[in-house]
Amino acid sequence: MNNSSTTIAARALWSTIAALLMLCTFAAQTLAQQTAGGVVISNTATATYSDGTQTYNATSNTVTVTVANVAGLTITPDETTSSASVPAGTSSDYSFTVTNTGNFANVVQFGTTGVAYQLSGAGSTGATVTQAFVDADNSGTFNGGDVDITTAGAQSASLAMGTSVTVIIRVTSASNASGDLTVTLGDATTGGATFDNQAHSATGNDVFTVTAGINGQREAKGTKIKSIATVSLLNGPSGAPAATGPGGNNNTDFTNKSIQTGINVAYNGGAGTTSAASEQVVFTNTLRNDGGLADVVTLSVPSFPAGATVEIDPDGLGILGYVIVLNAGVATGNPVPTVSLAVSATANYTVRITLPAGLVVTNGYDTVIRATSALNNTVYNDTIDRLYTGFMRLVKTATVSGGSPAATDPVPGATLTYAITYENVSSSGTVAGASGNVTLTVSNLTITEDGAAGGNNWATTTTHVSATDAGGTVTPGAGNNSYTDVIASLAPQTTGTFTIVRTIN
Amino acid sequence: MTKLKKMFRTLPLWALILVAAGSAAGAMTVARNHVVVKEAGRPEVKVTLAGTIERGGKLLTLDKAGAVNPGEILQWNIATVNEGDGSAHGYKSVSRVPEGTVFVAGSAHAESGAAVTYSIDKGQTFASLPLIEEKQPDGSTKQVPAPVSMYTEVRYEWNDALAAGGKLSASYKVRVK
Repeated sequence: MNNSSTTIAARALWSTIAALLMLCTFAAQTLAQQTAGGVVISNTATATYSDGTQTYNATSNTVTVTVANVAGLTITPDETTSSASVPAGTSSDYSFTVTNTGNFANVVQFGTTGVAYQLSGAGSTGATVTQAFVDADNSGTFNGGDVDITTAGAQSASLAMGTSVTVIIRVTSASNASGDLTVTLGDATTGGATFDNQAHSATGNDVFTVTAGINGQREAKGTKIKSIATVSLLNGPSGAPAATGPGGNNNTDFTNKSIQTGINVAYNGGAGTTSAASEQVVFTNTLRNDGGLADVVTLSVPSFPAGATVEIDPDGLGILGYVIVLNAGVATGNPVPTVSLAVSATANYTVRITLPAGLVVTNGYDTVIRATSALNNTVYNDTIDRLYTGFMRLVKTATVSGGSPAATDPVPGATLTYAITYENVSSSGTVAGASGNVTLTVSNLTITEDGAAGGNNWATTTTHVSATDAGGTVTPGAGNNSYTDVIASLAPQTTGTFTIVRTIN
Repeated sequence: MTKLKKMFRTLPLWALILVAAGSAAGAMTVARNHVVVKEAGRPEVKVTLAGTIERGGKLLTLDKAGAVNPGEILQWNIATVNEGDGSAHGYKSVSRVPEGTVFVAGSAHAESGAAVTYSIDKGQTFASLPLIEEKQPDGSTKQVPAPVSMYTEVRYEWNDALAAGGKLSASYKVRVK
């Protein structure tokens, strides 16, 4: 055979094998491991020659040598900067790959006098390790067959040469944590930047091979860094996501509105109720992502007036349309599309509420809309869409004085006093701690008292004395037979009284 | 010229008859082979294999090295001596890259200008640069040199006969995987 005389058949065979090897790069890498300890390397040379006619073979002596057991251990990754962002207050897995890089099966021990893992960095303040284990079955959950390493000295099962196991350190950061949270596994101090396969020194938090090779026991260290980002979500009235309710409570900020249908009913001490279902009233609320990570917000209705119909349009534009969350007080289970919010982004959504008939008039009815973070579902913010069944309450009283024989006897000459107390019953946005709320202010309230209309007859049975209102402007009608009181503005939770004094004829 | 005269002096009668038959070239070939056989004694080649390892700046024979570590380089020395009384022709020596080791590229050396070839199929075929087919991104295949990690045998081939009493040496290195 000459130098290029590889036969076609053999070439084809070996080409196929080579191609297979290349296709299976991973398998090839796995196979291309070091030689196992204890393997005997054996070599013999052969020779052929001839005397011109006859061919002879010769064979050399055989030389053997045994491969030593060499211990080896690596732990990855070896991060020096954060590789991921994690919402504060949530659980996150810090995963490490521990590999027996020796050439014989070995057991790995986690910690000598302390646990094998340590937390550091600003983001670790208040963090807790909830689980730490060798995930033998690579399930990602701590279950049968996995090795708990939350106590010092835990040992893995025997790892065949070249094989790896995953170690998971499960850490929950504090809800107010911020900054890098670093988890180290092992405490090797030499061999940077990988800190792999170092001569073992028995220190507290070491990870090392139990069985020594010709090179003794080996240890390694891995480092995983994640950035803990705050999760903060604001949900409030239109344009005021950071609004706060009384006392500075971020979950009681409100938007007040009033229905108009079915409220022309006397309050009557609470006996008067709406005569019909209300019209649909639309509220606009605003969300803002004040956290350090893009978030996805879920809107829900944890509290609502009995019998109400509540619909949410998550984009507030009608593109997605209203989703009926509650139908006449019954949860529909209809999913409300989520709202994606980049860091610092705001978004409006609308809520459409219909109240049933039969509600006490001039009362507020709260629908609580909750925005919940997908990053951390314990982070949420509520806002109240409060719907009044009218918010201007009038109470009229009549008292008699100067009568006889009793002072309150309505006899000629006695004084008859009508007091019309008007009150804006809607909640105030100026109480301590409250800000950004949307309130209902009465404007141009006009109270007309006609002594000869609507069943009244005091125009002819009494004589004018006075008609006053400290908060309004009273204008008498012809002959003082009627009065008009105009109140330019009446803030929430304020009252005024229009007082008419007459003498009984 | 001297050699040719000697050849003809020892020509047997049947060879001369062949010459008479008209094929001078054929007669030469047959005659020449015949001369060698008649003239030479029997060669007897003895092959000795020795392994050494360099460790801590010292060269140790494997029997004194104890166990070897992955990554260490072993040198195999093949010593050949013709202890017979005739020349060894077409002398070839084949040595293996043992299991658990890989050939060290460019490490094969031999005296007297031996041609060195390698096998990637456990000695079935040899080539100075064994080729394999590599699949290209476009789906075609291309012949490319096989990686030395695929080498399974090293062969030394000498053109010159190894005379009686003659010696040859060859060596190559492998790395413990």
